[in-house]
Parts: sequence; C-alpha cells; structure tokens
Amino acid sequence: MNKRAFIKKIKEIAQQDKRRRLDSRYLKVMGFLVAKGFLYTNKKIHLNPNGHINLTDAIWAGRFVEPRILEVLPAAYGRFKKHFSGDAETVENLEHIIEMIKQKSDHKIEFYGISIEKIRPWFFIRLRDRRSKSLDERKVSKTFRFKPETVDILKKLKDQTGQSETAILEYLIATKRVDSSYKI
Amino acid sequence: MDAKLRMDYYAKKKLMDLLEANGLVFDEDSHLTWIPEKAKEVELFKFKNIEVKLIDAESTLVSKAIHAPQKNKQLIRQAIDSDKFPLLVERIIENNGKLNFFLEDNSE
Repeated sequence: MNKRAFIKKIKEIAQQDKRRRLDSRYLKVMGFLVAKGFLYTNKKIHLNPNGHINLTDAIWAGRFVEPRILEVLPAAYGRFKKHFSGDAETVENLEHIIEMIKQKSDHKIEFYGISIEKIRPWFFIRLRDRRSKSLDERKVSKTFRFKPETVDILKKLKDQTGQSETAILEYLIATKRVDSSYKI
Repeated sequence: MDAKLRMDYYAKKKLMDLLEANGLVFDEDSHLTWIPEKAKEVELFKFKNIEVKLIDAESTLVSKAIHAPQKNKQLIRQAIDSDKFPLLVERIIENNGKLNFFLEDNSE
C-alpha cells in the first residue's frame, strides 16, 4: 500500500474512532475516571463522579476508544467497588490483580495486554476527592483485649497528646519501642 | 508524566511530591523513553537552577508510534487524520514503524 492509500485508509478508521468517542459507554466511563482523577482529558466532558459503571462497557471503551482506561480500571474498581458491576469472570480477574498488588507479588500478570507494573501506581495515587484511601493508606480492622491498666494509660496518653488511641499505638510500633526481641 | 530527569535526590523528591499533590504519576520507566532523530526541544521554563524542555509534538507522536503503538493506536490515527503533522507518516516509516498496525481490524 502506498503512502496516499495508507493515509486514506487511516482517515476512514479515524472516522470510526471519532464516532466511538461519542458513544455513551465511553462518555460514562471517562466521565467517572476523569471526575475521580484517574485520567485527564483536554476535551470537554460531562463529569460523572457518582455514576454506576458496567465493567463490560469500561473494557469496551478501553479496547476500542481509549487504551489508558484499561491501565487505570483495576485501581478504579479496587478503590470504588460500589460504583462497578460486571460478570463473575471479570470481577474475579480484577480481584486477582488487587490481591497480587496487595501481596507485592512480582508475578507477570496482565489485564488486556497491560502489565501489572503499569497498573500498580494507580492504586496509590492521591485522588481528586481526597476521601478515598489508596491501598497503602487503608486501615485494617483488628480487635485486641487489653488489661484495664493498659487502657487507662492509653486514655491518659490520648488526653495528653490529643492523638487518637490508634495513632498512639501506631507511633509506638513504628518507632520500635517494642521490637522483635520483646518476650513475655 | 514521562520525563528524563537530571536532578539530585532532593529535587526529585520535591518534584514527586508536587506531582502527587496534583494527581499525577511519574512513569519510572521514563529513562527508557526514546527520542527520535530530528526532535526539536522547546523551552518551557528557564529559571536560575531549573530548566524544563519539551519535545515537539510530532516527535512525541513518532516515539509513541514506534515504542508503544498498542496504547496509542487511536491517538496516532487521530493525529494523521488531523493533517497537523505532515511528516508524521514519513518519520514512522523512516524509523521502521509498522504502519499496518494502525490499519489492523478494529471491529468489535
């Protein structure tokens, strides 16, 4: 194919791309991802921060309109699960990626051709709404049974410092006031 | 953000903090970014201790077409269709890019 024929053919396909950028599936997904701060666009787009996203639509938009959607989709799903729904296979696939990232696994896995190295950073970025926690900021619930005098000390420290009891315990552990050689 | 950085640790740390505060991510593979021949540098900022330069848009598109065609397929088609980058196709050919990749069946 010569250069002129190539450009003609490219222009035809570009028209199809243009039509797809007007598809409601793409606009809805982009509106959500831009509103949350995962993606940026210089086009005017209706923001959709509270929308519900069908994973099949999001994958379609990533495969046929904007490949960067596929790069951020696992993190968007992981951080805003209530906004997404989809078939069991896709959900299982995404949960597997999230688990691999939590475990800091170096397994070579991909999501529609996107490597886990490219997917990982989006789990940790600070998002526009400032409310959703990144994977490394998320708290894990644990229950302990303390002696009453320990609870009293903790309360006193809380009053003295103005910090929460959790923050005090985290500080003590982080500063290794109790290290691995500690024995009862 | 893709950028080739030449700076000390503290300047890089500050840059990373600024990017994070603005919801941006630095691509740690940036040092692998390939800059094609004939690329023009465009000065963005020149302060006392900091210089920031951009690569011209056409060269950036050539780089993307050669090294990350899958992720930029639609972008390259859009750029060719816009007629704003008259040498883009020639430069992709010159750099052994696979033009047919951008014509591949795009049907659902």
